[in-house]
Amino acid sequence: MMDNSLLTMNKEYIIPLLRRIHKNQEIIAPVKEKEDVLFSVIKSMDEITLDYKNAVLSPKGFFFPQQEVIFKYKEVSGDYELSFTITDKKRLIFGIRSCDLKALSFLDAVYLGRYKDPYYQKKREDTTLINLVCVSPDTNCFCVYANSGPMAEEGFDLQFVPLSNRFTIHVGSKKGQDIVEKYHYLFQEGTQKDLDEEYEVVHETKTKFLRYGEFATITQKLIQEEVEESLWKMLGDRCQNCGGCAYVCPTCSCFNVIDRPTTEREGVRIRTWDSCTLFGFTHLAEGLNPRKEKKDRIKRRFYHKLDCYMGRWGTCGCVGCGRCVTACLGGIDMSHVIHQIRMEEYGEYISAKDSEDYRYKG
Amino acid sequence: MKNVLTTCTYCGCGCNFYFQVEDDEIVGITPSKAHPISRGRLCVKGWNSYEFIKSPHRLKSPLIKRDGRFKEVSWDEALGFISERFKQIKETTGPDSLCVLGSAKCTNEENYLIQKFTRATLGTNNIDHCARLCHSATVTGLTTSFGSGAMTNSINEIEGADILLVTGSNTTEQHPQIGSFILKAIEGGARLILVDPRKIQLSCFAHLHLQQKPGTDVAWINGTMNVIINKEMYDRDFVKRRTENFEALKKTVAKYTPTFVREITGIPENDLIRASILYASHKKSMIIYSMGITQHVTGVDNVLSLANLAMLTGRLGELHTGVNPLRGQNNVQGACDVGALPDVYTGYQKVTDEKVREKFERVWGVKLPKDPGLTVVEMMNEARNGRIRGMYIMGENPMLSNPDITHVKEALEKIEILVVQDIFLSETAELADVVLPAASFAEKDGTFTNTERRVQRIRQAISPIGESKPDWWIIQELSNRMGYSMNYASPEEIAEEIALLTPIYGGIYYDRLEEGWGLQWPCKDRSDPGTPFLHKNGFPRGKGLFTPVDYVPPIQKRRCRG
Amino acid sequence: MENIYLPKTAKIIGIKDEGLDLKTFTFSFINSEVKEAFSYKPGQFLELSIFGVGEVPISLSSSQIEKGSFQLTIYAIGEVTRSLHKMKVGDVVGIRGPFGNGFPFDEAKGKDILFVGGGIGMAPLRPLIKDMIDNRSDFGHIIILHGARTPRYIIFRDELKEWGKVEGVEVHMTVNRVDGEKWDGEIGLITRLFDKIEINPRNSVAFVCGPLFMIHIVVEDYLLKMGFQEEAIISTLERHMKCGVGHCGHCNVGPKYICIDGPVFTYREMKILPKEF
Repeated sequence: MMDNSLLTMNKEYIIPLLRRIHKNQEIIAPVKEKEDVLFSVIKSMDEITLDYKNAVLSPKGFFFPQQEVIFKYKEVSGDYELSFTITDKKRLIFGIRSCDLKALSFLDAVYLGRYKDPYYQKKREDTTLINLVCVSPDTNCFCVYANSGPMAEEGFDLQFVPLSNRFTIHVGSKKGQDIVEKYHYLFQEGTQKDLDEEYEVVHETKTKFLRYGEFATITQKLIQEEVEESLWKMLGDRCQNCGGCAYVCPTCSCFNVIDRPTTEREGVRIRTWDSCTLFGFTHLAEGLNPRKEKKDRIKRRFYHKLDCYMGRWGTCGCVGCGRCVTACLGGIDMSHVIHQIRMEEYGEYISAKDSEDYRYKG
Repeated sequence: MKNVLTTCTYCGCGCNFYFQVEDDEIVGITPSKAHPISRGRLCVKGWNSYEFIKSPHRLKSPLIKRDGRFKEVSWDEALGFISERFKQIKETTGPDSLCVLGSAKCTNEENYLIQKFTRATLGTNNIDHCARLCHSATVTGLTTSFGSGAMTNSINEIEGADILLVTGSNTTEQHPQIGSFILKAIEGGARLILVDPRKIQLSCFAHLHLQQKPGTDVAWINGTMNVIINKEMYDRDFVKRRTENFEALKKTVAKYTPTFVREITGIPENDLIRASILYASHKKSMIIYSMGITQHVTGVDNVLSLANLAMLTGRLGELHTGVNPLRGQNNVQGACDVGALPDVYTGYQKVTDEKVREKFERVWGVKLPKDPGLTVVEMMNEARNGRIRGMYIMGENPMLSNPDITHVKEALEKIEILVVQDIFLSETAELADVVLPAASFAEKDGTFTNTERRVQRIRQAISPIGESKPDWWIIQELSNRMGYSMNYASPEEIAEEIALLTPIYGGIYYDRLEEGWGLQWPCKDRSDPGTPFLHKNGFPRGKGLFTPVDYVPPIQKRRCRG
Repeated sequence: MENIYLPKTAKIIGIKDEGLDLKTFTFSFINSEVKEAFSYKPGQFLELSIFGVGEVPISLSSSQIEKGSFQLTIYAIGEVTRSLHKMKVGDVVGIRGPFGNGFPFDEAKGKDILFVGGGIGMAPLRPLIKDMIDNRSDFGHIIILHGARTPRYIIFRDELKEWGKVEGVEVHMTVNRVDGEKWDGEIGLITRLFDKIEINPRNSVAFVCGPLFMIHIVVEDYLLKMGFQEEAIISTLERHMKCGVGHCGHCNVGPKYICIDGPVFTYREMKILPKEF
């Protein structure tokens, strides 16, 4: 943290602030397309919407695109010439939510660990992050249980909390401090009253969550293998192998690598988002597949999110954004599964109206 | 960077998603969360549909086969070559020695244009497409019963149903979003009656799974009606007010007692009785079916029987009811709607109806053929007989989708000039004399009609790959060379012509499609909001017609016996 | 900054047939600086690219002593490996790596060594065996067990013979069955060979490579029962690592990434992984 002192800003100044920043760098912000909200590179200020719960996808794709060229290859006199581009562009993401912000720290752990991913690293370094604290959680959200929201503890350059007519603003880094200093005339010193109102707003937000998710107690059960296999079978029966849970997950970082020839002598190597719930993910050339069944893959996904992050990085791999719940064709629901594991209710996945008539027969 | 909203090109669900486009490249896909079908979800094909667009195997230039090998040529040369040959055939042996296949993958505008090209430019009704091989039994069957051959209700009504009778559909595999609605409905307390010989993903969730022997559908459906009539659970008011020919039905199904049905189908008596009672005792009962019902020798009979069942119980013309065929391809509904069929113009207006024909002759400014043309299957037979000399295939692959591939190959090889317009060098294209590279759905504008009759926009996201061109452009250019002038500036103009000529599409204009999420036909004029479910106050044919059918053993079984 | 995803090009300088669908390729980097800087340990792996086809992880099967070049012993089994098998001397591939931890070498000094190699599992063991034989005095008794499907599938046949002649090194072989070939040796699973050897498990290290089921049987039914310590049993694990550097997630098992935490694991480490291995 650069500066712990609280700042405030009149809500009406947000567009003037972004307009000034936009003169020198690209801005990525929530944009309303028809009735959907998507993070997009904006051309003008009137595209930005502040009326949103969260975007359909997190801004993950701006760091780790759905498909990305790794390099181009070309055969030249008995050898290959390889060329690659690393985008060099300063940009600012405005309006990222705390859950998605925390998720970036997971991508950092993977891509900026012992080996640095040059494509990711550059994009990450070139990006300023302003998170806008969410005060009206969506129906599938449970960040408050994943310790990733509504307010962020770290990872932001600036954090904006919307109060009645103004934002309270927290500075999280040198990049954030620079913005505050450059446009100092738009900011004011915060007071105890601002801090009190902020507390009220955030506190009220926490009461609005419709879902539950108690992560802490279940990790132990997973480690001890105390979860009944029937749970994974039930979930596997619902999985339709769409891969969507991983695609929409802001912490999922797996990718596949594909060569795409354009002619016989040249082409590109690309990487694309991949998902561990797909059969091909662990399929080996000799025909072996350690995760052949859907139940194995679903189990692996939940273990990966809930247990192995704990084992490797000491934190849970789910930030509670609720997107996988929205995206699942089979209605597999992270918060519901957590609840089941916690309560050790493995009998039925669904609470049907008439249990006499409904029997799960997987 | 821009987000381009479009409709998925894979199946009849009609999901909407946004292409993220940067520097004329698709860099990502985001499902629409607000769309009534997608709801923030896509299947694996939808999520990865940007993949095939940039496939190295895309056709990039027109090809003409010379000495058994394809040579890249200019558009001018390819189109000139085709028009000369087609003109020559038309002049020597008449327009009926030419035939055309439309495409369930292409847009409404392109299918409209290709049937217009067939009828007005070539002068024949020899136009069909692969709907013949999937749901033409549905069109015939439901048109007989109701007067309209489409899904009666809407996909999102499934969630609110009490009973779902699913048969001949592996829904979670083939229509993932609809499968998802079914699971959601079950979570909300709906019961699933699954009638399918196979154990499928839905079996895990079925309240009752009736595993009939393949090809015995008429028997179990008649059995169901037998139980319902005997237990007096049918809707007397509905039968009396809205249907005709009930007594004949009653007579036919009388012998299909549960025991008799068990002998034919293998379904235990009790299961059949329980299923019948469940279906008839709830108001919100929906029948959902797919090709497991239609792809039989008795396909039409199967469809008629399901229609009989729905009419008998009055489970029609209301929310959460109906007879709901799930159409397979993204635009198989639309290709039928806009007349890529040998016997009808757009909106199922018959070519044999003089008034209709006169209307089309007036607008198109040309004399039109009177007799219905050949179906896909007949085209192949006639080609092998040498009576079809030229064939134009837009975006279809009969070498994969038709029955009896050996026969198809012989037929296609016999044709003097075979033109295939596609995005890949398909098995069929390999046999062609001329191959024309078409633009994919990401590279053009137009509309698709999903299985629930929802007409939705597709929008151009990137430039066509290589030299490829939108299908409508290709047809227009060819028509102009053949002497019938077409001059559309955009698919929007074509859609306008469809609206003018087609009562059920009368209110479907691009500006209206920008609001909301498409329009469901019938949509008669610009003030019509469209029709989420059909037959509310009456059937297009007036009264619903009970068509009693008897069980006939599947042809394979009859052959074995013989 | 170095781009870890960019392969260095290498030429095939030799191809040796090892039997059915199995070849040992010798490569040499085209760029001389790359050639000079390249070094690795037995047990590490490379990412092999055939441009336009794809990339696969392959264990190094040669020893670092063979300076300037390296070898990969490969079955034609997937798209990339089948394309490689069609290539000839002089053709160019891409190489990234070496990746992974490699076998412990110094830690094994002063001990008796048992190698158990099933089929292609001999490939990663080969450089380690060579290094140990080259530093013969640092190690105690060395026993090499090799099992193959049929006599035709025995790999490194000549070398196995040579190694057997070295003082204090024994080599035993077996085949699962004979398929018309001439064979007067043992027939049966590799575990048969345990009857023929004598080893003091207290002061020994076992290196076990091969199919997963073989590893399980050898370790659980033999080595542990013989009294080997769990940390003295060493194996390598296999996954289709797409990146080799812990990013792509394909080799992630439990909290471990095979590519950066492995591929070499002691049995103690292996046994706490999820039951996929």
